Amino acid sequence: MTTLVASEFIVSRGAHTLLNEVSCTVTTGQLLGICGPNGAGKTTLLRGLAGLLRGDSGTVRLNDRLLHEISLTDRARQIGYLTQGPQTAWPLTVFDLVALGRQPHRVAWHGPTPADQIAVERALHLTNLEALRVRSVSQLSGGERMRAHLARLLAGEHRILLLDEPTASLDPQHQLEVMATLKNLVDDGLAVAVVLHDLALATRYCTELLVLQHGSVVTRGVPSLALDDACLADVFGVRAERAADTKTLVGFRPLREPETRAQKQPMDMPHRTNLEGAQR
Amino acid sequence: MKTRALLWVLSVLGGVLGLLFVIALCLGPITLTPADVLHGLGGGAGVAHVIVHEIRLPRALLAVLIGSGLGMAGAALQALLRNPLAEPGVIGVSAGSALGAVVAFYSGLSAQYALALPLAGCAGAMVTTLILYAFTRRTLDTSGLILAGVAINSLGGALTALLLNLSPNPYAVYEIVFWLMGSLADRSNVHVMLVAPFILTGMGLLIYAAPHLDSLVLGEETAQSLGVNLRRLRRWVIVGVALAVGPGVAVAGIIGFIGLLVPHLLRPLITHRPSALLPASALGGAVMTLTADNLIRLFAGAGELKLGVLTALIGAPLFLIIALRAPGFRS
Repeated sequence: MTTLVASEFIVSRGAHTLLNEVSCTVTTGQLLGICGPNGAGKTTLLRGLAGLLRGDSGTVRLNDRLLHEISLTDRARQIGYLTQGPQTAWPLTVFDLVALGRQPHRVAWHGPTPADQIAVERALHLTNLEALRVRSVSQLSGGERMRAHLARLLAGEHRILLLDEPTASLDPQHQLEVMATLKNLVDDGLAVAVVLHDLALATRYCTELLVLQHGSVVTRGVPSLALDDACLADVFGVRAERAADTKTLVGFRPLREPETRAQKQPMDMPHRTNLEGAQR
Repeated sequence: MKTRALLWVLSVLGGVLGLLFVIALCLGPITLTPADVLHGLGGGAGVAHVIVHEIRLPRALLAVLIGSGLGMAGAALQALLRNPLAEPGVIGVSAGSALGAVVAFYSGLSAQYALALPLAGCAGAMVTTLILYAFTRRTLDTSGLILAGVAINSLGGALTALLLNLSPNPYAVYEIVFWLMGSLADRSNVHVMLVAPFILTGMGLLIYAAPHLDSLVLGEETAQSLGVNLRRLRRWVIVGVALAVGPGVAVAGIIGFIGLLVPHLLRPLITHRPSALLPASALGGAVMTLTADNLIRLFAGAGELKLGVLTALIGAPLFLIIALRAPGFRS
C-alpha cells in the first residue's frame, strides 16, 4: 500500500495565496481527479504532491515519511510526474524519450538493464507506440507526442502517478484510451492523481474527485456526489445535462446563455466622421 | 543502434585526431617524417627532439586540450540551458578570462613574468565563475542565469575595451588586440602543464554531470521529478565549463565557434542525449581546433593567421548552413 498525503498544505507567492490549507490523499487503488476552474490551484497542488515545491506550511508525506526528507532518487522511483504540455528541448526519438523514464533506476554510465528494456517495451506497448519508436518526437502529432510522454511516465514503473491535464491535446478516442490506461494501472495497484478539465471524463473514470476553487477545497468524494448541481453552478458556472436513465453527466450548459452577436446591443461609439472631425 | 553509431563516430573522430596530431608534429618550416617524430619523441638531443618536444608537441597538445574543453563545454551548456545558441561565451567565462589577461598586459606584469598572463586569465575565469556560482545559489531560473551571463560577458567586454581605450602605449593595444584574436604560436610545455589540470578537471566534472543533463531534455520540472538536483547540477556545469574553458582562453586568447558549432555538427550523427554528445563533442572540438591550427601552420606566410580568426571564418558559414537546414527555415 502506497499513500501520498498532503495535510493543511499552504502555498503563497507574495500576498497571493495559491493553496489554502489543502489536504488530500492519493492511495493505492485510487484514481483521484483534481478539478476546478482555471487558477484554482490544481497544478500547484500536483507540484506540491510531487515534491517540486515546498509549501509555506503543512506537510506532504509519502508512506508517513516527509517527502522532502526522502532522497531525490527514491522519491523519483516512487512518484512519477507528467507536467502540463510536456516539451522536449531536442528532437529525441520516441524510444529515447520513453527510455528517459528509466533515469531514476539507472546507474550512471551503465547501459540499460534487461529490466529497463522490458519496462520501456511495455510502456511502448501500452501506449500503442511500438510502430513509432524510431520516429523523431518533432515529427509526431500533438496526440502522439502526449502518448509518448505518457509512455515515458509508465516506463518509470512508479507506485504513484501525478498527471497534469494528460488529455488536453488529445482527440476523444485517445482521451478515452488514456483514461482507460490510467484506470487499468489503478486496478493493477497504482495510485494515480490526475488534473482534468473534462468533468465528464473525470466523472466516468475517477474513483474520487477533489474540487478546488481559489486555492481551497470546495468538495471531495465520489464523482457523482462531488459534482452535484450546486457545485457545478457555484464553482464552474454551468449546469449539468444528464442522461435521462442513468443520470450520468453527458454535457453542460451555461447558467445564463451568453448573448449572440445579433442579440448584443451596438456599442455607443462615436461615428467615424465625428472622430475625424474631432481630430481636425 | 544508437550505441553503434556513437562508437562509430567516436572511433572515426579518435582516428582523425590521431592523424591530425601526427601531421601537427611533422608540419612546419622543417618538415619531419613520422619516423623522425617517433625518434624525437623517444628521446635524445637531436634537432628533431628539440623541435618535437619544445615547439610542436606543446602546441598540438594545447590545441587538443583547449579544443576538447571548448567542444565539451559547448555541448554541456546547450544541454543545461536547453538552448542551441548557448556556448561558453554566453556565461561570461571567456570574457572574464580575457579581461584578466588584458589586465596582466596592461599592468606590464606579462612583460616581467611570462606566466602572469595565463595566471591572470585563470584568475579572471575564476572570479567570473564565483560570481555565477553565487548567482546559482539565489535562483533556480535558467533564463536568469543566461541574463546574468550576458551581463557579465558585456561587463567583461566593456572593461577590456576601457583598458584598451585608456592604454597610454599603442604597442600594448596592438599586442592585446592580437592576443585576443587567439593563437597557439610560441606556447611551451609550461603552458600545457599550467592548463591541463584545470581543463581535465573541468571536463571530468562535465562528464560526471552528463547523465543528469539527459533528464533536462524534458524540462527542468520533469528533470527534478526524475531525481535531478537542479541547483547542484547547475553548479557542476558552470564550474566545469569555467575550468574547461577559462584556462584555455588564458593561454591562447579567444577561440570562437568551436563550442557553438561542434555539438550542432555531431548531434544529428549520434543522438541528442547529452551523455553521448559530451565525449563526442570533446573529440570533435579537438579535431576542429587542431585542423584549424594545422591549416594556419600549413599556409603560414609573412604573418601567421590568428586561430580565433580562422575558426570564425570556418565556423560562421558552417553554422549558417546548419541554420538554413533547421526545420524553422525549411518550413
